[in-house]
Amino acid sequence: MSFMQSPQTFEKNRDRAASTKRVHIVMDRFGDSRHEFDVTDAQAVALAEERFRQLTGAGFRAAALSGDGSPGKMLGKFDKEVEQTLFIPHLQGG
Amino acid sequence: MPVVRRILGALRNGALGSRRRTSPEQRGVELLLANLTPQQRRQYKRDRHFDVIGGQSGTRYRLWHCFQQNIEELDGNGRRRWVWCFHPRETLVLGDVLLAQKMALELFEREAIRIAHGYSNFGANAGPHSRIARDDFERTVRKSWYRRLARRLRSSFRAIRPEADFYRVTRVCIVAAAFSGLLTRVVQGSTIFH
Repeated sequence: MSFMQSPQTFEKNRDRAASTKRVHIVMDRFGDSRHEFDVTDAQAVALAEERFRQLTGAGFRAAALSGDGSPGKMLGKFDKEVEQTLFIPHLQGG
Repeated sequence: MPVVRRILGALRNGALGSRRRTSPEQRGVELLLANLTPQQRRQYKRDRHFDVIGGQSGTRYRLWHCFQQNIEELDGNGRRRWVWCFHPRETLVLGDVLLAQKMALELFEREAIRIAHGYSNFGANAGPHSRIARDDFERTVRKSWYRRLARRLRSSFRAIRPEADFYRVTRVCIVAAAFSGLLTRVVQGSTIFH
């Protein structure tokens, strides 16, 4: 029965895994595209930073999502500590 | 035991759940719902709109489930002051449009209102009360299980409705039989008493 984890161990492992996982959410016509990366992986972080630069350069606005529906915050530059970054396309009047 | 371990791992990672196929519209609504407060979520599912407080002015805006002219600016008494319309330049699903509008009003309200077009009222065919908007909401927003069950029952009832005459005739026959039985017993009873 070694594969059975106690709830405390499971929560601890999950929190540890979740604490290093980040996601970039890009709004598109398919709903959204998600790009996950791990902050402990330097190469993945560099790729994520490059993605951030390209999208914001193309007119997307980056916002940090709070996760509970409360207002997030705008991101002027890449921050690898932000768990969920949402990329909003350029807005126009309708 | 490796099999059991794999199954438990899959369940724990939500692998079975992620296989659910959802349309882009539903994915958009799921993303929106994940980023609403519980109160906004309840309001949206119940009324097809949710309220957002402008990050800079503190003004209350009401965002309707609709592509165009869907942002109501409300005054202190909850009455409409203006209808605003702005949306992402790219073609997005409606859930994403609403989330983009929510984020814009909360994080860069003045700029969003500056680029928005203002109207005094909703468009007749394009507003939130249009048939298209209602149908889109029904199609994309997932209802609770009891509402889905009620809807299934209603549609099932509609499906058997053409045969309603059969049920009516049957009901009349049963009532007639019961009545004749009762009448017979009454007549017999009166015969016995005499």
